[in-house]
Amino acid sequence: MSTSYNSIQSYLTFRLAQETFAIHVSRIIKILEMQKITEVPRAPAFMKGVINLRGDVLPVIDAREKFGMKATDYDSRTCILVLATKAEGDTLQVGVIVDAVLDVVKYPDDAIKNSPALGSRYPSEVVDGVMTADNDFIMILNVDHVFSTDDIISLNENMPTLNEDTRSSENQKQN
Amino acid sequence: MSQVIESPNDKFAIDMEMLKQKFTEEAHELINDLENSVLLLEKNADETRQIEAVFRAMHTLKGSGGMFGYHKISEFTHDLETIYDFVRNGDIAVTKPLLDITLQAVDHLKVLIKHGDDIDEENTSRHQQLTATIRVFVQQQIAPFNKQSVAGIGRALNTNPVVTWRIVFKPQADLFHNGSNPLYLIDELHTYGNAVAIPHTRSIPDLSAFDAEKCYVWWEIFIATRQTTEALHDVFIFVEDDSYVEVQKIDDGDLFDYNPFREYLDKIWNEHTEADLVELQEIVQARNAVSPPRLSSSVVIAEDKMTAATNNSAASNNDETFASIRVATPKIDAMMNLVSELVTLQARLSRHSEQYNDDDLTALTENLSSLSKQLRETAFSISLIPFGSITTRFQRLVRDLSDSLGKKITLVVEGQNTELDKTMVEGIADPLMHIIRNCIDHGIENPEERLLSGKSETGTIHLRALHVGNSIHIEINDDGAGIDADALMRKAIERKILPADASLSHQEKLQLIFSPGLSTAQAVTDVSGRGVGMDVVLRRVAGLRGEIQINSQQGEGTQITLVVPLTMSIIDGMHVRIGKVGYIIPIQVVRQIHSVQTQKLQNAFDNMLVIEGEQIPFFWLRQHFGLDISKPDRCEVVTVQYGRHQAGLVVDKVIGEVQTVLKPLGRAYRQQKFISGATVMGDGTVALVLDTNEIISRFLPTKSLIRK
Repeated sequence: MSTSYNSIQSYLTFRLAQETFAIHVSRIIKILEMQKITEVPRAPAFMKGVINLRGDVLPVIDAREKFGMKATDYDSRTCILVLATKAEGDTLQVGVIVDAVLDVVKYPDDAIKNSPALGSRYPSEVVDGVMTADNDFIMILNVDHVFSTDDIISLNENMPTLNEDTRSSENQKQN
Repeated sequence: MSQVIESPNDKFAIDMEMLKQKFTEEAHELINDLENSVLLLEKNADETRQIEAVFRAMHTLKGSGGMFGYHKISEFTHDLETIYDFVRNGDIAVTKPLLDITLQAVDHLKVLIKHGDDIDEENTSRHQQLTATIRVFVQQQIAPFNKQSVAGIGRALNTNPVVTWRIVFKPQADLFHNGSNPLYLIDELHTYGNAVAIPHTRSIPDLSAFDAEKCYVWWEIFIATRQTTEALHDVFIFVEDDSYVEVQKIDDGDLFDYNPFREYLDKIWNEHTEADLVELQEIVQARNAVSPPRLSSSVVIAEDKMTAATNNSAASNNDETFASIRVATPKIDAMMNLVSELVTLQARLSRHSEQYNDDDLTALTENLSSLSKQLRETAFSISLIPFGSITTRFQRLVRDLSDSLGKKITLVVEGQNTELDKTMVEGIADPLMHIIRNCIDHGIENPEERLLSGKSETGTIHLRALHVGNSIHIEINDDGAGIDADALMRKAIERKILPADASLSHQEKLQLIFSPGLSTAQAVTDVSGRGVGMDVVLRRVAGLRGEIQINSQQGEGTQITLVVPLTMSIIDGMHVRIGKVGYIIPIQVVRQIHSVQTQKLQNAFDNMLVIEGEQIPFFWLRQHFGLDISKPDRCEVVTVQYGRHQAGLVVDKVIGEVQTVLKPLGRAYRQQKFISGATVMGDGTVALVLDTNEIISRFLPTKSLIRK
């Protein structure tokens, strides 16, 4: 990713709560509508279970819960991004549930800033860089790091609580 | 621009890598065949053919080893090849020392193929030591001949008269893809004597259609040499599968001495025509004018030979080249995936079409259904390999181990052609190795003991693989001492595995052999006796969703039967539901199903249930999976086999028996060991496959060790 010359890269942007995130398009395999997920018992809450992806079994992660954000109900805009992640030399596929897919944007490399080392609320290994668009920050995620570890990544330790988020998260936990 | 310059090199590097990989694959097969032939040789089976096979394997290894940069291999096999050349000519007899050396060499070759030319110190010294041993062996064996003639090989060379041959060499167009250069072969022929090679270039296409990677040229070679037909054929040994090679005698003398013949060669060279056999015959006749015209008959023979050769090559093509093709395993896996996806989709289509009362649709789906079923079976059979592919190592084990223990043992293998899934074959190899080791170490007695008990000196181990329904039975029978069931029991009591007052049937005592930490070997050898024995075997086989049956009579021998499914990827299971999720319990562990009131289970003491007079511990899967256990009102208990015991698993509902394709759950759920995989059901939903052994050992409260 860290190329010395200035090339233009494409990113898929998506929304989680009020935040906008981006993932390089080369990592996106497909985008699925939300569907029934088979829950796997005794797994961390953010690991929602498995789905049938054209005959193969794909694990699905809830990005909100993975980032320690409040869980919400899934709605018609909820999507599953099928991503290619690399871990220990293998390429793995993983489904990631996001609130909504926004757009595919093109950015020259020099428009991408390193995530500020100080005062950043994001662990530096999680975010590859930050872009600005319409006074909004867009965080480029390092998918290998974010979705191949079993731990919850606390993105919003210092974030103002997401109480303006109107959707309730209570009936999320049901059998 | 730099890319343009780099790419051919890159391509070359990649091609070389691919060729090397192809070489190592082939080398492994060659070595396997080699080992097999040596072991057969030892039993005097089909001697000439095996010697020939050994020689050819060595020769091929030497040649292609050198070609792909495995110089140590080609050096090493050179000396071995020399030995077997003498053996082939009957100058050296097949003896045990010879076979011992060969087998050691085979082992070393395996190391060389794995590591290439950079081997570590230990292997280097082994390499030198073995090379020296082989050289000394050759010297000793050949010394008597050296006294008689100048040099071993030269001897054969000098006695033959010079004969003139015509060789037709038509390489296939893709000859270059294997890295072969036909000109080297022709050069090699030139070293054998006077030779003229006439290239035929007629089939070279126009430049527009010309493919630089294809070989369009074929050769006619006339050669006068003392070499035999076999030696001439051997020149083409690496390319014989990819080429048409015909060797034909045209005269029992050296035609190059005869001017009309050389003029004739010049003529066809200049006119780019093929040699006309009739004209050739006239030339030979003219030369042998004084003697009776032999050639007319010899040409007829040659022509007969030619048609025979053509037929042969067609037949052998059918047999060898086209009867089987080499396919990379990932391609087969991909095909299997697609086929199982098709089958799943098919099932959904069938369900869907049932809802419409449309005769045409029903007929079409039924046809499609039977077709996809056949497709699945065919695709499945492609991924099977014969059991015989792993038996060589057992032969080897029996040979080496019985030697070092001073026992006489024959291993008889039956059902070599029984086919099973590749992963399954790999999975059972280790457990089988262990069992056979046990047979050799504990089972079969010393020759003296055997004679004393009225048995023949040589013990026999029967290894047999056969299909029984949807599973494979692998039987290992020996005629050895059998298992002392009472000694097993005493030991079990001694080690507090059994209570002192236990009373067991003969069969139950035998089952004790699968208990951890129980080995009856008197002394710890490197073979067995460290107490990691049959329990490991049992666990490995259970991991393959298989089971082990054992039977033994003291003094008569032991029969062990492994029952494993045909394949790892297709699973017969009981489809059950817990909460909203479907689960599969592998059918071979399921014993009984009982419907019970949830209330009754909740009142049960210590999670024990009495079924048919037997106390069976049960496990609330709802509870272990974090669900509410008060629902539903009625639930079902599936009892499953757990080692020698039964345990009950409480599920919401049993749906029925299914056969599905097992898929890995992937790294994301590696913590969930009690789920061995997942499977896509007919309706497209995912069901999870339970590993009952893991569930029971994980959720079993330590206090309640299952007792009878």
